[in-house]
Amino acid sequence: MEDNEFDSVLRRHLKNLPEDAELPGDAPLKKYGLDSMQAVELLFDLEDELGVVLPDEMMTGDTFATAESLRRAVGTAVDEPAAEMS
Amino acid sequence: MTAFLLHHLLDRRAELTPDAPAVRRGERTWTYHELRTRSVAYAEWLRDRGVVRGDRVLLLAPHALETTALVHACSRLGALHVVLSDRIRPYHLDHILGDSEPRLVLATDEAAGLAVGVPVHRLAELPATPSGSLPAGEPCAATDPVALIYTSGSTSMPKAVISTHAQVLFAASAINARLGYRADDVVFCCLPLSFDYGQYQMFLSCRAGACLVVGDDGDAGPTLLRRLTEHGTTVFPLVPSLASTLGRLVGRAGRPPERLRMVTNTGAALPVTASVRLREAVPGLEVVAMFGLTECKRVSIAEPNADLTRPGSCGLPLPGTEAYAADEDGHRLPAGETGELVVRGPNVMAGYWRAPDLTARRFRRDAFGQPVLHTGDRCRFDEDGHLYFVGRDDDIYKQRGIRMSCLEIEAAALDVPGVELAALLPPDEASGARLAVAGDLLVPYVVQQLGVRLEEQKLPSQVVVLDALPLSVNGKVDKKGLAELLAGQGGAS
Repeated sequence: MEDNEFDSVLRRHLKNLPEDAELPGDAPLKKYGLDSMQAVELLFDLEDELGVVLPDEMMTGDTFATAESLRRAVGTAVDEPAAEMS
Repeated sequence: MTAFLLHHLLDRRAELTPDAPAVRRGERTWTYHELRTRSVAYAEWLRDRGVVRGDRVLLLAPHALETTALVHACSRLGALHVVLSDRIRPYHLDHILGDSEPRLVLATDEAAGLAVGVPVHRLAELPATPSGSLPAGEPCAATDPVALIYTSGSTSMPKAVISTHAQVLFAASAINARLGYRADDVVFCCLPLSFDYGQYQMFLSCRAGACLVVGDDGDAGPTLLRRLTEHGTTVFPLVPSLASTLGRLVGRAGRPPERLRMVTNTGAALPVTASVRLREAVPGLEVVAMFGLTECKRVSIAEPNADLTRPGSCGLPLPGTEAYAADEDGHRLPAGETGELVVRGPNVMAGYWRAPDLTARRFRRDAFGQPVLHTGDRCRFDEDGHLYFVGRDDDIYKQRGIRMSCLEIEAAALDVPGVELAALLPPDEASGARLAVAGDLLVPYVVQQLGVRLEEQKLPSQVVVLDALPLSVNGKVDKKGLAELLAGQGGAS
């Protein structure tokens, strides 16, 4: 996964984050305007655009809590098929 | 044992099924016996802090387990509960504090700092066990008030509707005559308990002996399907935005919440595409359309899946009540004609708190002194008496000389495949009518599809496609927020 791809999808859904502002990895995404509806849009866009599928057990509030927790979840989802192939 | 006061509902269930789960939030579950015990302990605690009959108790805890016991605790003292959203703006909260003059406020840790100038307590202060000092005997009459429910509407500030014990119990009983909540139901409510739709889930579940799972906005997002499944949810009260989320998540996961048997919808019409998708996603699911307003709680409930047989209908008025369309003089109109929705029956609430003029205008009296609610909503009825909502009086606007309703345009937009939500902003000084839709769509497609469904003179002057529409705390489209959002985008489409 390209980090900047993840970032650009994520930032698109944070309406309270100015374009040039930095996004701290541990800051709650809620603070930047990620409500439940936006989080659903974000989930679908991440899966579509990064070609990943988040497994069921990652559908928790913790996964969508911060940029870092979400990046980790998406990273795991990307790595999984590759690990199976090897 | 018949319930005459609100807490009798709980006392009855605690006698019938003491060990059945009553309420749950996260890992915490209380049985009916525990819920009753808590409500008695809380009542003693409130009394010790000076709460007496007729007092208002403000609950800034719209998703807390404690709130489900506190409403009964207030009832035991003859006091009124007032549940508020914890996302309320200080501007509105200050107004409500002055308007309701509560004896005290109970708040979650997060919301405790919001209220100033009144005694504020935290939920953690509440005792788990009673001392047994509550006097026997009834605290008040069934015609005494038990709740204030604040709603926003045509007034500039939120106003409160007063409900008596008898009115709440009648409404709950009439609603359940249609919906049929059962003792083995698990009701998942992620709407705030400050919203009457959420609040009545407490009363309906308690009445039936069902288990109420209290969720919050965090459960309304990507985690929704998982939550519904892990709690074994059978009944899910939703609003259109939640229906859209659920449909998409089930489609994505490829498996439904197995035990889900019924969803109810109110607040705004459910798009036909949403009902169709939900039934496809969840085999055997019953989708129930309802219509209501806080002033009489619920007006009508449709047969399950009525969108297939009477598209757009909100069903028949509740048993024991009457609803009709009236002309400007208040006379009944024949079937098919549009007029003001008027409601009669024991579901009509007691009026607005400290607003005698507005109360006189809306809550009128018939020749026998009985209340007749003039809702300010526009509607029509078909030959069989089924209600069709047309719009609020304030939703009616004129464009190119033609009278039309926001709802008409929104309904046409929702009929376009791919449109998840739609909201129309009526024309103002700055711009003509603007339609915003949510969905993965292109503007020219939406405009073309609207043109198939609406006469040209009715088409909005601007169409905007967004990922999602801003929602109020009750899950309805927040039109004020939408207008600000569009202004912020410089009107680009």
